[in-house]
Amino acid sequence: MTPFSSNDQKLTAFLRQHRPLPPEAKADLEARIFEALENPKPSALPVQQPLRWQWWAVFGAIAFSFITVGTGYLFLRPSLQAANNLAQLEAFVMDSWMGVIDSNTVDASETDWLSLSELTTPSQSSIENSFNER
Amino acid sequence: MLTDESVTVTDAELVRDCQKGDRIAFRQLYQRYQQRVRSTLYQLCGEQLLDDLVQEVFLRTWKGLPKLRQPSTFSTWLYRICWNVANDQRRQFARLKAEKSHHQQAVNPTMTGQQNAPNLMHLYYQDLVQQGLETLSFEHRAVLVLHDLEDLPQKEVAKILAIPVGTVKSRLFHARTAMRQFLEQQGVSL
Repeated sequence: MTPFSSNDQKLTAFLRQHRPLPPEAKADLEARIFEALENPKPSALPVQQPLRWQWWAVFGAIAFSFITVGTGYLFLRPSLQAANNLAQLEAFVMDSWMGVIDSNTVDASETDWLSLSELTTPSQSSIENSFNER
Repeated sequence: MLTDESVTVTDAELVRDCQKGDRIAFRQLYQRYQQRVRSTLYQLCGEQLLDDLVQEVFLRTWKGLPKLRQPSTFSTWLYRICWNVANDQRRQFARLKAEKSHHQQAVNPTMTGQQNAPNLMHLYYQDLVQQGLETLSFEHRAVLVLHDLEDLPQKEVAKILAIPVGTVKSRLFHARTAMRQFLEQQGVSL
């Protein structure tokens, strides 16, 4: 791949010696070009504009995502009724919680009695009753 | 007097004048480069619509000059525009290419009988080189034309085509190999 090998030099020399020469330009070409500078017209060649549709795609995607988020929010956000229910539920939970806390502040004798009564299962009481009857 | 001035004025100075809207300066740039532009376009795209392509290059050049930030790189930038115009035109030529090469193959045998006269020999070789260029892919042809025919350094070719220097070397190697093979098939010994 060396660019200056002798074979390459011979080839390059041959190409330069016999390089194809373009035909002469039309006599009015220069005048035509400078006239076109004064009165520019749209190009006859298909100028490559690859970015235009890509930009539209990007803007479209952004707009679509905004619309999706907006409509999703409208449909999925909690309604006013649900918000009221939620507030009621929250108040109920608060009341219940306060009730539990209040019940923990009863005096010790009540607590002992409560724990004893809780420990007495129906089967145990029936055994005790049968024992007393005897 | 005018010729001396036009020689001493650098491209960068002319470009700066053009950027101020000086059309006389642009005419000097046109006269300085039109032959090179014409030759490059001819070797890349052939004869068809050559004048139109040259016109397109210089119109795009004039339009783009205000955006050229480094006036000293004008020639590289101009070759880049050439490449873009040739590339755009290539799409339009794609259909015609097959028909044209078929036509040229038909012309070939008539040339072999004219190899005694030196001028005709030269014309024949010119025709062979043109045909050889047309057998190359557009990318390989561009590298061969810019480097071997226009005598631009590999670094500049890389800038013009917006590819790494390594790619230029690789394409040059393949282009030369293909061109050598083509010429040898046509009876040219190198």
